[in-house]
Amino acid sequence: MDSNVPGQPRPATSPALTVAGVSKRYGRRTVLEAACLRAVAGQAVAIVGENGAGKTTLLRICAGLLVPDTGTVEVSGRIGYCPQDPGVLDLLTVDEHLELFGRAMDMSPQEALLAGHRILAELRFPVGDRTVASRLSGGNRQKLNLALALLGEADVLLLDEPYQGFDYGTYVNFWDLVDAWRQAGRVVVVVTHMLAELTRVDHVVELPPPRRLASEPARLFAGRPERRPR
Amino acid sequence: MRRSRRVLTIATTQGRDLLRRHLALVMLASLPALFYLSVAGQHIRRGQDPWNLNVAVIGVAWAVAGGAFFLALSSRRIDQRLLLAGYRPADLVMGRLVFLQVFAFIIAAGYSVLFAVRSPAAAGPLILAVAVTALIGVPLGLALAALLPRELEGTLALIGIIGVQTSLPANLAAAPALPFYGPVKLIRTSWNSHGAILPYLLHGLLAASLLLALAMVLWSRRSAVHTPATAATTTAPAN
Repeated sequence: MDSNVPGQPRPATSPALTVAGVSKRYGRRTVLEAACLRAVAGQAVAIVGENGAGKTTLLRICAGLLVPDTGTVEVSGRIGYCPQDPGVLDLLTVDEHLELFGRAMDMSPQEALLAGHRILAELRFPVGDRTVASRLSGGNRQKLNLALALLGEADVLLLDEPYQGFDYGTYVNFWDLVDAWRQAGRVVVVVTHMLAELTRVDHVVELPPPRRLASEPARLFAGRPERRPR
Repeated sequence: MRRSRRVLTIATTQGRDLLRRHLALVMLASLPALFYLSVAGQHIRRGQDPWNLNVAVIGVAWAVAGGAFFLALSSRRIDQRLLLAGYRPADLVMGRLVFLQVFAFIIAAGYSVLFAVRSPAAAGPLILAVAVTALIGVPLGLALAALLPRELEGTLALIGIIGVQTSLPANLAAAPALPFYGPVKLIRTSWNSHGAILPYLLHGLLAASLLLALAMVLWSRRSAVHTPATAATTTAPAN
């Protein structure tokens, strides 16, 4: 079990994420009930469910941004978290964001820019753009949002609908990148509504709608058709 | 070294954020002048309450505390993400404090010159009062932003604290409970040329220290990231 401490040596064990029996309530409203999830190095997991089913809550609990009421989360490796709403500062340029987040991982500005530009190029972002974040298009803001999560080559990627606003080409490219991250041995967890892409992940966690929580726990099934039980 | 670089990066980020808000920058810098000039024409004599100087210091308090409050709030939305990336809560608070305190002292220096030129007899304590006001205002804004992260509630609290500071007579028993009591008394002391300066200076330093400690604790609690390392071994009871 490793903590999420950037700048520390990579974990000796493989990246992994295990969520067991996680429940969360906001006041009287139960948003998660006994949710489970397990992914090891080289696996991608999709979290699906209706609006309000607790997908973002589950991802935030995995990232440590929320504390579950019950259950446990175990993470091996450093986390890269991409929130649903771009977590960026309106008046900073792209490069300034890279420097800011890179410094958190003890990267020099040059290292952060080099790594960040490479990631942005993969996402088809116009590298070198000096525009501040508030003047970027929605899709480009989202690319920056995703790039900040990928900076520092995190072992466990927690991505909350990271492709919102992407053009079609970048959207397709995103799922190719998911494959590449899997092949590189990273754990990828994606909150998604794009059911057509569930064949590109290893497991799917389907969270029941809030009204059926009491009678129906989260379901876990295989994502790739060839891995589904006959 | 690593820690100081992180603090410096946060301070730089905060600086870029403010310096690109051109209108806000002009308004923050000119707010104390508006307060001062609004009452500067009033004739006052020694022995009377130096109202115009009080108002000027309160103007500095508004500018510094208000600026710190809104800048901290605007940055707060990415705090958890920065912590997850590797910053520590103290890095964020100290980085913001460093930039905002420098900014506050620049404003204070400008107005100290103005006040000293217009009231040379009371220049020393007056400059001290403005400097202490800047020292208190930044942690006050940071603490309020952590305590009341919604803009309306925080703004109302700021209006309440500084408004009461303006209206409450400084000789009442409750007055020392207010953060800017020290600077207000420093001005009165300097204007009337009697009384000790040290107790009011210490009051101001104590207020700044307490507010800074409060801001540090509140920011750490508000932005906490519960690393899965901790969560993995903890099973909280159900509500």
